[in-house]
Amino acid sequence: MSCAEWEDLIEKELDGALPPGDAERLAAHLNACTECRADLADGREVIGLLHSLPAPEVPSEAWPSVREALARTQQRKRSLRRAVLAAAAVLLVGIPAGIVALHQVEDRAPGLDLTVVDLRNGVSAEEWAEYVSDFNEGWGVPFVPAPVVDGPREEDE
Amino acid sequence: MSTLTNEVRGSRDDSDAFLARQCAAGSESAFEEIFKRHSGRVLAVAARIVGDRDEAMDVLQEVFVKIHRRIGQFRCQSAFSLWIYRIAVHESLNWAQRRRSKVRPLPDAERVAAPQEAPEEATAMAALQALPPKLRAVAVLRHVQEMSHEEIAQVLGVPVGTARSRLFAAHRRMREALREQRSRERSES
Repeated sequence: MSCAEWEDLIEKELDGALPPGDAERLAAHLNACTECRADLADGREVIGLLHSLPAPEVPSEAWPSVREALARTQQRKRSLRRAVLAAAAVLLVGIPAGIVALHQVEDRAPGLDLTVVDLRNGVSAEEWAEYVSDFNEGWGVPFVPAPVVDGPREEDE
Repeated sequence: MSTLTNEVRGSRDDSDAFLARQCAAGSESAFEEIFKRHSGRVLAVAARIVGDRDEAMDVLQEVFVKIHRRIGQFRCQSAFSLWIYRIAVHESLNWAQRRRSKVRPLPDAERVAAPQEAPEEATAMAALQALPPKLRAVAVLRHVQEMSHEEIAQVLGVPVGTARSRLFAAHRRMREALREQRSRERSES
């Protein structure tokens, strides 16, 4: 058995999960192999160091800053909700008129590129997905968003 | 402690699941109590995975904003603390990976050794920072938070065998980092 094959037993020993029969075999090998002995000793040392790491103390200002962050998030959510409602209202009122207007515009400028106002501006994909879910639950109106691509937006680059 | 938090403490049921329900119903005092109970472990995980105290404080804030946002989704199918660990590890890994892709890595000494750190702590942090973030998370959960393989697997959403093999890989890399550090120290002295 090569040293690489003993490594599995060394790992089990480090993890405190080495069966007694294997423990005897490993002990016999360790007596004869300095390399595996060093692996076990270094493994024990590094694990011991991790166990002794002191727990960091949570500073007293942490809770107020979390509370402020929550308030900011909720404010942003309210703004987003207002924006979606405004957009929905514009669509409801504007679609019939818009169809007529578009027809007229396209007659004059065929192939005109129409841009939709992007409500996701500055909102992460995750926040947007959660917002959509909240909106559907809160208003009982299915609101199917365009697919969201996570990552830097064109204007960020 | 605030009066609101005293109200929660004074109630008959102060379990995490009860607090989660109260919080989902809009109770700020319940959320404050959740923060008091769990912020220490979130900060411990974030500080070890991110490797920087100031950034760990930012992660702590992000994690609790997410906990607040998702608390209505907690279904008591797992321990509340594991649910929180899952968010904390996910957020810390995101943070570490974002930083790794944007920022030139600092030399070991600058990256981890705060002036007040004991040499043992600096060595442990250097060994952790030598790991890729996913292996670091496993090592932290196992040896700093003292979780079982099953709990680690639950937090990371991977099979137990994967958690175990990642842990073994982490041990190997940390042993190598320890040896490299020793040989650097020998060549400097």
